[in-house]
Amino acid sequence: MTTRRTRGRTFCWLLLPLAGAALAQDDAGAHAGQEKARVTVSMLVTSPKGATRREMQYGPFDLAAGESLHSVTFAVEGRSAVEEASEQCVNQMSMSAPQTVLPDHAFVWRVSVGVLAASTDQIVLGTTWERLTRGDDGQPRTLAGGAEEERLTLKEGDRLLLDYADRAPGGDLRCARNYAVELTAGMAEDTALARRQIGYELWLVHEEPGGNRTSHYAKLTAAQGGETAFQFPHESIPADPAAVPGASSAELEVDVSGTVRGRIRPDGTLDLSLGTHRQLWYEAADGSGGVTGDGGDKFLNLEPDETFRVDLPAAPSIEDPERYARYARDLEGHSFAVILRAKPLP
Amino acid sequence: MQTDVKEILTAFVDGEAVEPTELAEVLTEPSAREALLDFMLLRAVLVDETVPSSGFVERMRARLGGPGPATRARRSLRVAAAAAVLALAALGVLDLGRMLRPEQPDQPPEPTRVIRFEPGVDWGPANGR
Repeated sequence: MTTRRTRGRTFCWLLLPLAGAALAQDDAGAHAGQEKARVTVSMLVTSPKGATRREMQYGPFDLAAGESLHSVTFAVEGRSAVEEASEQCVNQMSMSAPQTVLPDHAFVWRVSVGVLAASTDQIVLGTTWERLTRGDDGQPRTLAGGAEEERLTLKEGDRLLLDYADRAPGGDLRCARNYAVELTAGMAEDTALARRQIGYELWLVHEEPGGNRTSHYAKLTAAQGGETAFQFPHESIPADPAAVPGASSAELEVDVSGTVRGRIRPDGTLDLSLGTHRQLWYEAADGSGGVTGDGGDKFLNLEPDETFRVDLPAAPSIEDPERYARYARDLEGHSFAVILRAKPLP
Repeated sequence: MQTDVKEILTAFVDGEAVEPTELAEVLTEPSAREALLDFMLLRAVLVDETVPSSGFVERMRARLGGPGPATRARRSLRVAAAAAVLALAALGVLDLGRMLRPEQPDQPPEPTRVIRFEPGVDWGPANGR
């Protein structure tokens, strides 16, 4: 949990109790050995003449499925009696009810987060949030959000803006240009396995209509839970010249790349997340030709040295019927697959 | 082909102890098969030199009233069997080389499981992900 003082004009109060008190569990003993998500809620502030920065941060907290954070309250663009004389802008993070800080601040956010499921690159969170301000009658008024829980699925390292707001109408431009509430998620590492490494071997296999087969090989190493990228050389497919206006010959280029993230489990098996991306474009002498792309994610559990083959769809994911027909025609009879083998390194 | 490659093949043909991994590596050389066969043929010729000439054999047979056609036939069979054993051994060595040779990484291994991306389920347009 951190707060920051910035540019001498924004002032933060830290009113939170100990981090441990921020955790709420439905059953304290039920999560031993269970994978945990690492969750952080932050208030981002864009200063009037500067960049966007993390002004206040709640977390990170390691939560197993079924665990949740106590609600956090962010209050911004406020003035305290103490600081009023110096016209300092006051931002505040607390676990108090919004009503207690709303009288002194232009905006107040109340955010609650719970973990519904947590595994490699698949973190499912249940969130509720609300942005409040003072109504003309002095009572709290909801500007955005509500009591309904929203279910969010994030990959590790994903950042998600729950809400964004410009400064208050007529508010002091010296306080901030705008505000945003950010949610980030990752996975907490098992301390016994955190220093391990995983070796990956990947092949791209291209089978042509005549039975000819070409393959490309990539070898990678990554830390436990770390993501690493792969990129195979382009494959060229002879294409109908009509695909490129004015060209006498054309080739359809196929580019396959992606990322792999792995985690060794205590039982010795591996959890893997394989993200695969495919780009297609027509290469003409004049360099013309549009690019289209598609991709997907697979989440696998495999034994060490087990070998997976993941077939890519034959036809591209294109909504426009004319373009779809053109690509599908030139790809007909060709197949692409990624073969993956992973093992924990000694 | 380098000298040490020839030395390893010669040692193998002569029945000397050879490191299996070195032998396997040597056998991956493009001309290893031909060299191995040459050495074996040479060895067979050298072995034949220890056999008395046919004239000497005939003279001794005449003096000693030596073996008849049946014995010569048995010898021919033994020579044929030895040649067959040598040929099979050569083939076995070549196969051993293939088994010990490191896997070529450009050739993917046979998968233990095959799955596919399903459009609309876990595969879609890049801008829609």
